[in-house]
Amino acid sequence: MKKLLLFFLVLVFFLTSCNNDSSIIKNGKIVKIGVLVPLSGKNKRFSQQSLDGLLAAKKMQAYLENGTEIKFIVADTQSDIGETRKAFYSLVKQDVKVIISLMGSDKTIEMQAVLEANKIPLIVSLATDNKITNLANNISQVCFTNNIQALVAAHYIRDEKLISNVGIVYDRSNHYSYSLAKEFKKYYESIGGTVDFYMNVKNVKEVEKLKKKQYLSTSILYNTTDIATTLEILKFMKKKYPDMEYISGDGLLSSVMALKSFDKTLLNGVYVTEHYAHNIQKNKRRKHLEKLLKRDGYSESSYAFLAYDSYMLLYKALNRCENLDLVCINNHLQNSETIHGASGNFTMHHGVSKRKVFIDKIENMKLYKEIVTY
Amino acid sequence: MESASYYKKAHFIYDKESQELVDFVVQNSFATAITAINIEDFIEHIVEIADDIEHAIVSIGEEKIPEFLAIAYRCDFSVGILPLLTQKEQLKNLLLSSNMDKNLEIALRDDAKRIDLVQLGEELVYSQAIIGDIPLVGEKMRKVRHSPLTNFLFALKKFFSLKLQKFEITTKNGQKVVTAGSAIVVLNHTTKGLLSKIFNLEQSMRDGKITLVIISPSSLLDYIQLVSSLLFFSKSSKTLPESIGYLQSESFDINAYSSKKVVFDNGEKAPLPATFTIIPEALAINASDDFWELNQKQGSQKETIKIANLPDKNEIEKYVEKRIPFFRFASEERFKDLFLVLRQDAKIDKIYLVLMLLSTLLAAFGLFADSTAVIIGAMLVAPLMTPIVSLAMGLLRAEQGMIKDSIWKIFLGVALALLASSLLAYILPYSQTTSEMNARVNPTLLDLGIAIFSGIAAAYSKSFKEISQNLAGVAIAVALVPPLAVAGIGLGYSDFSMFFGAFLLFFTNLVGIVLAAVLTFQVLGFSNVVKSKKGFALVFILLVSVSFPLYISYDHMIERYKLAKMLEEHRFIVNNKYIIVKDAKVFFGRKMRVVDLKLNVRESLNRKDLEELKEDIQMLFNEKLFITTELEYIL
Repeated sequence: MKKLLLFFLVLVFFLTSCNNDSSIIKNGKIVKIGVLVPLSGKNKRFSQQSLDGLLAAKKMQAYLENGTEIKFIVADTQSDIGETRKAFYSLVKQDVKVIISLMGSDKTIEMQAVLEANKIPLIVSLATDNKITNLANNISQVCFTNNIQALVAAHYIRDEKLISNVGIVYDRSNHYSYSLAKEFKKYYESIGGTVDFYMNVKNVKEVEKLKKKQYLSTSILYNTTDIATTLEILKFMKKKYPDMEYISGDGLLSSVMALKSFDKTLLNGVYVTEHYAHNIQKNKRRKHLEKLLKRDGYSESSYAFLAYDSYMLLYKALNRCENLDLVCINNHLQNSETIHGASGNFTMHHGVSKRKVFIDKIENMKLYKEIVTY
Repeated sequence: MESASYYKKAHFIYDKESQELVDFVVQNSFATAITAINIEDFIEHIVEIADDIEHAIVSIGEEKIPEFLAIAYRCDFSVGILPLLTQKEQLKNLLLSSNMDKNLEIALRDDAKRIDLVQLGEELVYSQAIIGDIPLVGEKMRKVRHSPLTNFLFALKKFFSLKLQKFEITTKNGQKVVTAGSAIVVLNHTTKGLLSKIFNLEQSMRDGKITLVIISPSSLLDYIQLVSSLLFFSKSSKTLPESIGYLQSESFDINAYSSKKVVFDNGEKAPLPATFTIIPEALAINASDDFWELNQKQGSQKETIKIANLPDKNEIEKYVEKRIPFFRFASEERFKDLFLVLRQDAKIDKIYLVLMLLSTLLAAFGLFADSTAVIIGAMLVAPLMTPIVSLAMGLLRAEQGMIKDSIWKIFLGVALALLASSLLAYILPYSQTTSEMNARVNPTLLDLGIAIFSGIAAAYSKSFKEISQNLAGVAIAVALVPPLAVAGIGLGYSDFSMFFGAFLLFFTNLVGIVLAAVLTFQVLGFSNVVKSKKGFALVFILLVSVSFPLYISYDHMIERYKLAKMLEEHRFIVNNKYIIVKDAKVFFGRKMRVVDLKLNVRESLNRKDLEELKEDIQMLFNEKLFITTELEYIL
C-alpha cells in the first residue's frame, strides 16, 4: 500500500512539474521584449485584456528553443502621445529586441516619426488601420485591417443579407472609427448599395443629432463610434426602429466588457466583424488561454486573443534568428509561415496578416458565427 | 322508503388503532346497546362470551380480519365491519364510503346477509390463496412486507427464473384439468382485487362457487404485458388475456408438481395437494347496498371451465420445468397457415422467375433512362422479398428445407437479374452512368438502417392476415432489384467498382432484411422451441462483415458532408474580391480529394485570383485537392 502511494506521489510530482518548457535546457540568457500599453488614461479599457493575453502566452512558452528566457519590459503610454514617445524611447534604451504595441490606431499613427527613426521591429497587436504598415518597414500588424473588415461587412450586407440601404454613424475625431466608416462607405457604394446617411457623432451628447431625423428606408446601421456612444445609439434606435439591424467593427464586445454597468440586452442581435467566434471548434491553445483568462473574470476577448497571437508570431521569429539580429527578426515577423493563434491560423505577408474575418452576431454577450471569410 | 331496523344489542370489537371509535360507537343514535371489548380480550374470553354475542361490529387491522371471521363463522354471529378511514383496502372491498356515520349505520342494521366462505382443509380462506409464483405482483397480492427494494429484487430474480409447472385440478363434478402455469390463484371474494383488472370475472360471494385463475404466460414478454395491465391499467378487458385461464366450481382438488405449499390470506401456508371447498352461506355480514348489488345470490350449480389459452395435455411436457423464454414459442399447429404460405414462398416457380426477369429489365431500362418512376415500378414488380422473408423464418425455426429452398430461390433470382442486366448493358450501344446508377454504388450504414426497418415491416405484415400482403411500401423502401440491375450493368460495362458498390448495397439489403425479419418473427412469437443457432450466427457474421465497409463509406459520407458544410460557411477575399461559396461538394477521387464549388462573385476572377483562391482553400485541408468551380455573377 505504501509503495503504491509512493508511486502515485512520484507520478503526480512528474506530471505537475511538466510544462511546455520542460524539454528546453535553459542557457541563462535573456531577450528583452518591450510592451507599449496604455495602462492608464482613456484607452486603458482594453489594455488589461491585451496584457492578460500576452502574459498568458508567455506563461505557456517563456523560453526560446535555445533556452533563452523571454522577458517583458512593460511601459505605460498613459493614453497620451507624449508619454507614448517617452515610453518608446525608454524601451529602446533598455535594448529591447522587439516592441509589442497594445495601443489603438490613433496613437500608433501619431508615432510615425519615431517609428521611422528606429529600426526596432514593432508588432502591432490590435490597431486595425490599414495605413499602419505603410508608416515604416519594421511594423507587423497581427490583426486584420480596416479595409478588409469593411469589405467583408459591405459584401455581407449587400450580397448575403440583400440589404440595399444603410446608415453610417462614425466619430470623426477617432481615427479607427473614421477610417473604418470611410472604407465601408467606399465598398458598399461600389457594389450598388445606397448610404442613406453618413453622420459624424462624436460622443454620447451628439447622439441627439441622430434622434432628430427619420430613418424609414434604412435597413441597417453601420456604427463605428466608441462603446458609450454605441450603447446610447442602440438604446434610442432599437426603441424607435425595432426592425432595424446593426453592425459594428471589431472589438465591440471586448470594449463593453470593461464597462461596469450597462444594459446587456442592447447588444443582442448586433452583427460585428471579428477575429473569433464563440461557437467554433476551439483548438488546445485557445482552450488553455480561456482557462487562464477566466481568473480575471472573462474568457473570450479579441484583445487578449490578438495579444496572444502577437506573442506566437514573436516566439516563432525569435526562434528563427539564432543571434537575435534585428533585421532577421523583422524579416520573420513581416513574412511568416502559418502561425497557430488563439483564434485560428494566420500568416504574415509584408507585415500584413492574412487571417479569418468572422461576421458574428452577439447574443447574451457571446459572439456567434454567421460567416467566416478567409 | 322502508325504514331500517337495528340490533338492540351488539359487541364492538376494537384494537389499539380503533380505540378512539369506542365512544362514537357506544353513543350511537340507533338505540343499540354496545359492549365494547378489545380484540385481544375478545379472543382470550371467546369461550365465555360466545353465547352472548348476536352481532359484532369489528374495527381491527386487516391482517386480523380472517381470524375474526373464522370465529364469527364458528360461533355463528353476524358481523358488521367498521374500518377506520385509514384502512382504505377494507373500505374498498366492502364498497363503503368515507362517511363514518353512514358506515356505522350499515354495521348496526338488523339485515345481515350470508356470504360464502372457502375452506382449505381446516382453515378458512378469507381473500385468496396462491400456488406457485406471480413475480412483481404476487408479493402485493400476498401482502409480503419487506422493504420495497428487497421485494423488487426478489421479484426480479423470480421473474427471470419463472417456470411453468404441471397442475392437476379436479372439480366438484369430477372434471379433471391437466395444464401448466406459473401460478394458480384461488379467489373467494376479492372482487376489487388485482386480478379483476385483467378481465371481467363473473364472481359473487353468494354464488356458491370458488373461482380458480391459472396464470400461464408463454413468454416473459407475455408476462410483462400481463403485469403491466395488472399494475398500470384500471379498466378490465372483456376478453380473457392469452396467458390466463379460469375455472369455477364448488370445490377443487389441486395438485402441483413443483410447489409444495399453498400460501393464503396473510401468508399462512397449507400443504399440497389441497382441497378447496365452498361453504355456502357460511357467514352473515352487514354491508352496503352497492356491495349486495354486486354479490347477488346465484343458484346455478353449473361449473365454468375456460382454459383454451392454456397449454393442453400434449404441450405440457414441452413447457414444464423449463425457464419461460423471453419471446413466445409457436407450435406448428398454431400458425399452420402462415408456415404453409412461407414454405410455398420458398419454392421456385415460373411466376417468380418471370417477374424477376421483368422487374430487372424494367429497373435496368429505368436506370438507363434515369427515370425514378420506372425504377419504382420495377421495385413493385420485384418478387425477391418473399423468399427472403421465408429464409428468415427458416433460420428462426431451424427448418433446413425452408432455408435451402429460399437460399436457392434467392440465388437463382440474383443470378438471373445479374445476367439479364449485364447482357442488356453489353448489348446497348452506349455506356453512360446515370445519376440513378450513381446513387446506388455508395451504400452506407444508412442503407443498412433502411434494410433493417424494411425487414421488420416485411415480417410484421407477413404475420398478420389483416395487413395487405403485397408489401408495396416495403418493396419501395428497400429496393432490392435496382441495385442488382446496377451491379449487372457494372458487369456489362466491365466496371467492377460499380459492380461491387451496387452489389454491396443489394447484399446489405439482403442481410438487413433477413436479420430484422428473424428478430421480428422472434418477438412476435413464431420461434420454435429448438433454435437455429448456426443460422443466427451466420446472419450475425454477415451483418458484421457487411457493416465494416458500410461504416467506412458512412464515415466518408459524414466527413464529406462536414467538409462541404464548412466550405459553404466560408467566404474568400482574393485581391480585394469577395467570393461567396454558394454550394460545395466534396468527393473522394481515386488519387486525391475533389472539391466542386459553386461561387458567387461580383467581379470576374482571373487566373491569378483563382490560383490565390486555390491556395486559400487548400489551407483549410490537410491534403492535396483537385478543385473545380462554377462562377455565378452577382449583377
